[in-house]
Amino acid sequence: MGLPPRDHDPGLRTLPDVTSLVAAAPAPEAFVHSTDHVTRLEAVFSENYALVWRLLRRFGVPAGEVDDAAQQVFMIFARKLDGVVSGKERAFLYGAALKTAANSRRSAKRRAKVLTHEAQEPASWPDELTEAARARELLDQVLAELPDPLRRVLVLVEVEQYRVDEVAVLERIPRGTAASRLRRAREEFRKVLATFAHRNPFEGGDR
Amino acid sequence: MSEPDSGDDLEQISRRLFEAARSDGPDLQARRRARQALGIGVASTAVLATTKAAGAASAEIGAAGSSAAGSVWSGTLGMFAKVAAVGVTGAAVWIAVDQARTPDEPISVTAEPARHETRARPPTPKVVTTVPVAPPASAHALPTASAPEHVRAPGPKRSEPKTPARRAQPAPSASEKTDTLSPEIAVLDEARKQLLNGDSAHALQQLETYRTRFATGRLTSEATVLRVEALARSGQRESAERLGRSFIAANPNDPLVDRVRAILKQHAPASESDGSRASE
Repeated sequence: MGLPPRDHDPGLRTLPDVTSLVAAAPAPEAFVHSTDHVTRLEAVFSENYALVWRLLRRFGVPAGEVDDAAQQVFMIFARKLDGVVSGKERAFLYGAALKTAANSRRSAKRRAKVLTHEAQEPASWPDELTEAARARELLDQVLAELPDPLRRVLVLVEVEQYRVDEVAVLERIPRGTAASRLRRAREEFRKVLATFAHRNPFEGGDR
Repeated sequence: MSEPDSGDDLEQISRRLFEAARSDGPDLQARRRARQALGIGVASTAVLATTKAAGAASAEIGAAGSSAAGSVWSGTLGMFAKVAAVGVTGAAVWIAVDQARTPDEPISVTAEPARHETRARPPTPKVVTTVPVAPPASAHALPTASAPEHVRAPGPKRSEPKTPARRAQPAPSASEKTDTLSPEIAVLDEARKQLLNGDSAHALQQLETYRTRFATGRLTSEATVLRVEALARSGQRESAERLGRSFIAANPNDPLVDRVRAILKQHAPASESDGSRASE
């Protein structure tokens, strides 16, 4: 098989498996769906689109691809919707987002691009937005240095503000493991950040 | 600028980096394109999340300045509040542009408010805000089982994301955008309704109307996919097959390709179904 062994990407080994969230094999997607289908899709999209978008971005999907990646996640969800257990929609989206992000990162590596480089930053942005963009760029670079399991836990807690027990559910790991990963993630994050600190994006305040 | 040399400094930076990430999110164009690709975009409503965002945003934006008090980079304390203000301006432009077409989304600049509302920890600044503009009354009804179906995919191709006409621009170009896109959506919406009602013939007529009126329209991909569906449902399987295959060949990376494949698979004769897809 042409793909590299899964073990080459430590993050892939621990991706939550979403197959159990699908109750049964859904019928082939039809272009015309029932009203219930559309209503459910609408509700799930409205509630989770921004979350999925941010997760993809923080999990390493390049800025220029994150819109498409987010759309792809929901396309997957739409196809599987009839089989996704009610109440497990977010967990399903999370799993799909992780896999989509992993695929995107692999593709980006193959293209030898710098994953977190923000190439499309409008020159006309106000300083405040530029500063925020710089902050996110630095964040992504630091996150990229963390092992994926730690990165995911850190993003869920620090960015999305999930509780540890909620993270444990999403990651399908014991709560203690989630807490341990969070502790290690914070430590690692600080260590890596210290090496990037010369690029402090908030230095504009001293200008 | 001095480099941070203490744990406290790193903590401050870390906190602000995460704050910046929380203010990140998709723009309205991306959200709209995704909605269109999913077929939930045109007239449906989903204001619940954005309504929740309103209260949280106003409080949290106000807290932005104080949360960073004492920072060694105090010169930028108001950054996030300012960002929010910029976001309001941008959203206002979009409301002016697209209110008539997608009244469900113009409010939230960066959504996912429900998640944050339940947090036990102190609120943090987010660029989530609302604009006090009243859309048409009908726009604020929550989706119901009796709500009409919508055009499945009346959106532009994903691959044409940032054309000037689709960017948030000053009022003149914005009104142009509304003027050109809304009629396209209306025609496709009608075709979609007829298709849902089982009236493939009239759906095809409607799609023919689209083709003649909007030969270079921005929703031609969506119209083509609807046509494939209508042809297949009207029994013109071979025509649907040809059109679908040509669409796939011409747009291999289009997100609608999966839909076309699903349509063709659904309507393919049992004897051909396996072999025909093997060549894709």
